Order: sequence, then C-alpha cells, then structure tokens
Amino acid sequence: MTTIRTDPPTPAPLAQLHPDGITRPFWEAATSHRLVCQQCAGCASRRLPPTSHCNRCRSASYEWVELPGTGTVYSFTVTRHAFVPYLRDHVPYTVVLVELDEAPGVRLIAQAVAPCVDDIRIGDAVTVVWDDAGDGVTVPKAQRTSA
Amino acid sequence: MACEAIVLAADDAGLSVSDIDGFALYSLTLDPAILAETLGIPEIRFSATLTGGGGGSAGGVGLAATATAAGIADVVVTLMTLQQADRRLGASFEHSANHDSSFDFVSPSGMLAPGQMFAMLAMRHMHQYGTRREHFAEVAVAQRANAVRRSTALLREPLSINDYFSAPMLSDPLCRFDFCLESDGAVACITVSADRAADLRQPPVHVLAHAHGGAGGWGKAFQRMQMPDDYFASSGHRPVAQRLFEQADVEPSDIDVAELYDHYSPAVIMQLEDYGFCGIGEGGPFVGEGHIRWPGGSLPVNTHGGNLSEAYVIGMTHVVEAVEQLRGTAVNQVADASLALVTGGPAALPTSGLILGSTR
Repeated sequence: MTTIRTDPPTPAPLAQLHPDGITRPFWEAATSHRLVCQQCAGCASRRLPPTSHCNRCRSASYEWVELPGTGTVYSFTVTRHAFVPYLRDHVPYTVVLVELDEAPGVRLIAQAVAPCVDDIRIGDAVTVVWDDAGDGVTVPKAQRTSA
Repeated sequence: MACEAIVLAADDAGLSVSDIDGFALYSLTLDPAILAETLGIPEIRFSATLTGGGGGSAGGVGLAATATAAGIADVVVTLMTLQQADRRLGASFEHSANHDSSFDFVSPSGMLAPGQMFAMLAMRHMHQYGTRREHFAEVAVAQRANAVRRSTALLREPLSINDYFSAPMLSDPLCRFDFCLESDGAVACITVSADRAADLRQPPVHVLAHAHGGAGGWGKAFQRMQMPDDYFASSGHRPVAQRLFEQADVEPSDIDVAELYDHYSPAVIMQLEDYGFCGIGEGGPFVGEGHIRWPGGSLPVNTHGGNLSEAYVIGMTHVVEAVEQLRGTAVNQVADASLALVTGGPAALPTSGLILGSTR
C-alpha cells in the first residue's frame, strides 16, 4: 500500500492513540501500512471500528482480515475553522468518510491528503494511505485515486 | 442559577419547593443529591437521568411524566443548567469520555467538534436530496426573526440572507449561522399528575405523548458515522416520531407549533422530514416555501428563536416555549395553539420528543 509523508503532518495531539485489547490489532497493522477489519466467525460480516460482538449474529468470535484499502467518499467536510487552538495553522483541511471496498457499509473517517480542499466530491474513489506520525503511531489518511 | 430556576418554576406553578419530591434529568446537569441538600427538599422519591446528551431534553420531561403517572413521585423537576466557562461543548469532544479507544477512529482525522460531525450528515443530505445552503439559511433567518421580537433572546439583530452568505464557513457546508449559540443558563420544568395540575396556579399543559430512543443502528450516531444508509442523513427521530403520534393519536398536520432541537440548522430540516411534516428529502423545499415562518407559515418552528438565536440551554428553552404557546402567553404566539411538538436531539441515542396539549 502507498506510503506517504503527508504535508502538513498530522498534528501531534491528533496522533495520540488509546488502543485496548479489541482495537490494538488495527493500530499494529497500521504501523505496517495494512488496513484491516474484523470479520465475524459466525456470519462473515465485516466491521470497523472494532467491537466485541457482531451486531448481526452476536458472535464474539472474529478474525482480522486485510482490506484492499480503497473505497468511495460517502460524505466529507472541509473544516476551515480551528475548533481547537492547536489546529490554527492546520486549517483548512478536509475530513472524508470513506465507504470501504470489500466491507459493505463500513466507513473509515480519515483526513484527506493535501491538496484536496475543495477538490473532493461524494462518490470519488479514494485510497487509504498512511501517515507515520511518530512515536510508533501511524494513522490512516485518504487520497483521491487518480483516474 | 439552577436553584433559582427551580424556585421560580415552583412559584410559577403555585407550589412550594418543599413539595418537590423527584428529579427527572438528562445528561450534563447537576446532581440531585446536591440540589436536594441545597434547597432543603424534605424527601426524594424519584431520581433518574436519561442517558445520552441533548437528545434527552424532551425525554427528561417524559421521564417525569412516567414517574408522576406511576405514582412514584408527585412533583418532579426536569432541569438543565449550563455554565461553559471551563469547557465549551461545541469546541471539541476530545476532553470528554469519548477520548477512548473508540474515539481513536475519529480524532486522528481532525474531526473533533460536533459541528464538523454534523456537517457530514448535512453534506450527505445535500448530495442525496438536492438540499441547498439557501434552505439552511431559511432556518437561520426565520428563527432569528422570532428572536428579534423576544426581549430575553441573546441575538436580536435581524439576520438577512446576505448576512448569512457573508458569514465565514466553519466546516462545509455549515457557516457560522448554522451553528447554535453557546450560552450560560438554567431552565427548570415541573411535572405533576393531571389531577394535581388542575388545582395549581397556571392552566395546565398536558403531556399527551412522550418517547425516547431510536434505532439501535443510530447508536453513537455522528460520533461513529456507522449509521445505515437508510437514515444516515436524518435526525434519527423516525421511530420516536411514530410512537409519539400513535400515543397521542394525532397526525403531523394536527400539530400547531413545533419546537425542534436545533444545534445546527440542517437538524431542523431533517426533523421536519422524520416527523412527517413533509416527505423524506423534501425538508429543504418545505422550509424554502416559508412553512416554518411565524406568522403565516403552516407550521411555525422554534418560535422563540431556538438554540440558534435565543439561547442554548440544551433544549430546555424549547419546552418553555411550547408551554408558553399552549398557555397562550408566548411572545410570538401562534393563534389558538393547542398541540405542540418538542424534540431533543439528534445526538447519540436516545433522541426524544413530547407532544404537549392545552387539553387532555
């Protein structure tokens, strides 16, 4: 999967994670630039963010499977106001809700790789790319797939 | 501030604070233990808080109605008090309990504020249904016109469509005037049984229906963004709406005035759809045709100015306005108003609603 150092980098406060027993495998895979999600052992449905139980068949058994890391823009917002002071130099930026391929109905929230302010539309194809934000933390970003 | 509101509400009803024996609250408010001690309340028989956030405002009154109808308590207070000196609710969720392993799937994107999250729903609504910023503007402009006439409103400068489109965009498609105010305030509402109400100072306003909840898939809603496609770009109110109308045995067209929770202007449009005042996806044109205006609209909405223009006390001012409308004492009085809808949310589960009536 594409590796990039985005510009501007993810601000440090946004790259503070709190993994627990259920979510840790996602973030570990992220450090090796792999997008994974849970797949229910009972009904094979896929889900993200990670949860203890399948909300379709209530099975608590699952495995982690790798996704292709592509998807479609379901919605987005271009944030122009710094809602917290440390984002003052970071605005404007675009947050994208990505409906992931091979995981129907599952959406990933990711910041779009600059420069795509005012350039992303619902329905656009995007690729998940990874920002190694330091201290062993890697976060997903969304990049418009070139035609 | 909270105690003052309770004392004034009791006085308005013709009750003594000593008569209060219950609290039916929703999140982010004061602990009844402190209120009871501070106000010298002889005995508490009911103390409950609805889960969720602003979505519970109307539901808090519903909880009170449940307690009085069941005979658990006689005089139940629903309260919201808000002092935002330490932390502004609209700025960011990051210092709240949300900043846990689950919020790790949100915050790295830079989406921290509820307004950014709601913008996602608004953008999707525009895409799916052709809703335009002009429609959001109409909500803001119509509500401001109501606030202008109200001496207690915080924003009393008229708002024009030009003012709206000149305002800075905060998070597309939402501009400054699509966001609610953030203010300090306290509102207390007292619920008693219908029999007891008949003996009190004010003409009673009756709880004809109350409901809270929503589809399980609505869940944490725009804090997780995993709602099914069917109702992603909605207020999450559809199940609550259905139960309210069934309970009260009325139709949307019977409602005289609607006080709809308005943290963001598109939320009003989505609720108009989910409560059946227009079809799903038709909320934009519905407001565009002037239906929510006071006076003259077929369904005046947020006649007090709402969270957008009057004050933000997390939905409780909507309850006050509905009561004033049904007593016939509202500043922007809807002629012969006898049925009012009040809602709380959209936010995380539960959303909630009330149908109030001037007669049983």
